[in-house]
Amino acid sequence: MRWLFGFVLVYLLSGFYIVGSEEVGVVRLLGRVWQERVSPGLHYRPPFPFTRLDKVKVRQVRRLTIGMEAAEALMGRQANPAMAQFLTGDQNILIVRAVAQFTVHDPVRFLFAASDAEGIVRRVVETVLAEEVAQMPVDEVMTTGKIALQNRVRRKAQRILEERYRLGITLVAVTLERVAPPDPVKDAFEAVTQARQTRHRRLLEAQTYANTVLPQARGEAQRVINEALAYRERRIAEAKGDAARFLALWSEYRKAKDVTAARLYLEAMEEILPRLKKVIVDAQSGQLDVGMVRRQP
Amino acid sequence: MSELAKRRMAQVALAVVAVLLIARCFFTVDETEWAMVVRFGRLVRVVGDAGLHLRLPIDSVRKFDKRLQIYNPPATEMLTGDKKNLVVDAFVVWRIADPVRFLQSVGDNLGAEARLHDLVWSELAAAMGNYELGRLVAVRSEVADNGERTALTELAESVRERCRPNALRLYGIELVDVRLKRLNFPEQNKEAVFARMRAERERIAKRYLAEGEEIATRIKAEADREKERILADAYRQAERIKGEGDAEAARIYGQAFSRDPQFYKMLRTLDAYKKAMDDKTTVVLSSDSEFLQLLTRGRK
Repeated sequence: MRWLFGFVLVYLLSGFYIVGSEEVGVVRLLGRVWQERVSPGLHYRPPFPFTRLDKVKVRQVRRLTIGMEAAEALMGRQANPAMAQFLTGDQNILIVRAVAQFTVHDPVRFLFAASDAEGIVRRVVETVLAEEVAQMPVDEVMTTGKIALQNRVRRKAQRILEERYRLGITLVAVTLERVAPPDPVKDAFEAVTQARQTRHRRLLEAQTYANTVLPQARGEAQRVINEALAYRERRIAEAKGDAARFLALWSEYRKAKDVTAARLYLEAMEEILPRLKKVIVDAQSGQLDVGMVRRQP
Repeated sequence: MSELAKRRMAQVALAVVAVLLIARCFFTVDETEWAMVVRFGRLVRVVGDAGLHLRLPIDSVRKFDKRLQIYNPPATEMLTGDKKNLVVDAFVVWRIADPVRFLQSVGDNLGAEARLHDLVWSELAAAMGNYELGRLVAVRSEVADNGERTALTELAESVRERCRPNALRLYGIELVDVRLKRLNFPEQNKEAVFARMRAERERIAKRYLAEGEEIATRIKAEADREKERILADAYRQAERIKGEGDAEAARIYGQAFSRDPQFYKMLRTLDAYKKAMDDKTTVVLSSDSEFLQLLTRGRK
């Protein structure tokens, strides 16, 4: 009898359970939902088989990989390549791997609405992603349109999940983890990237050229102008000097015109004639002995 | 065995049978299930409410999953309106809406999937023939965010609308959703697609390179032109300044020399002689030149 009592006690005690801090408990009594949201802590429920307990991690952000099946992702091997291939609007094939993150906001719907809620989320996100990619040119998917694409996929998928499925989940984010061309055309895409970089480099080179040529030209211009200024100064100074000299001489000359004129003439001749080869001809005969000129060295 | 013991045994057996019998009178239905009460092979009652329910001990209960189910068979090749082969990966989400009809016509999930496949995929293939590839897969300049449906959604929706009544009427299945998960080219066509992609990339790469040349040449030419402009401008200014200098100098000279043009002429001529004549110059002097007058004739 004591043995039976002990058994009953243990059985009744088995109804105690703990809900973790990140969880919510859902208790079904005889199959019907009895407690929808059991908060974290120690609780009691009628033991098995009268109740069934499910704990849902509501705070946890769950991840789904798209473009690769979960099992294959775990094993770390490359999925069937077609699995990750998407068609772009300009009919290119792209490898896209995305991660969808979602949280559960309604544990009851999450548990009981679908036999495979995650499977539905995965497929809906994948559908929307494929649909959106099918409307974008390949370059936009790979570069500028990525962020917008992620946001659009998240919003559209969330709306579909909300309106049609009501799985009690919230799509937090859709992230494109990898967007790449398929292996057979990888090098061609690489060449485009390089060509783009080359274009940029050519632009920089040209700008560098312009940035050196123009200052040089401006410097040169300044030099030319400065030279001209110097020339003007010099010309004026010279003119003033010459004028002063002339006037000084002239004032002398006026005092004794003949003497000064003669002196100036003779001084000049004194200076000039020693340097010259001279042929002196008698003014009367006016004859010039050309042979003599030629003989001069 | 004593009479007492036998009676005890009988009592216990009776109690066990009674408990089992009472337990047989109840059955539970889970939130996720439909339950069907069957009496002698005949369906008596369908229970959709979760909880504890009564039945006769002779009744048996069959249960179906009430929740949404996914059916996602492997992708199949289909022809588009412009006779292009496409690998279409589609899936269907369904649930049992009429368990009676479902029990009678389909039986179980495997049977449901087989029938859904026949129903939906034939419609899908037919609908595919109404769309050209360029409509399903097409760059839209302005990708609408809400409301506006894409050709893919439109196609899937039309298939769902067409299959829905039949699925419900014939199989008791509610077709919750039909979606085209993915389109791709068949493996045997991919080589050609890759070749096209490659050609396109080469064209783009060439364009980038040509653009780079063009931009660089333009910038350099502009710089050169600007340089010429700056230099020409400087020349213009310089010449003007020099001219000013010359003019000012001329004015000063003029002012000074006009005092005695005769004297100026003489001075200037003498200066010119000094400059013009060097040791390579041979001068022929007349003996009656002013310089030589004294030499030839003595003092006049």
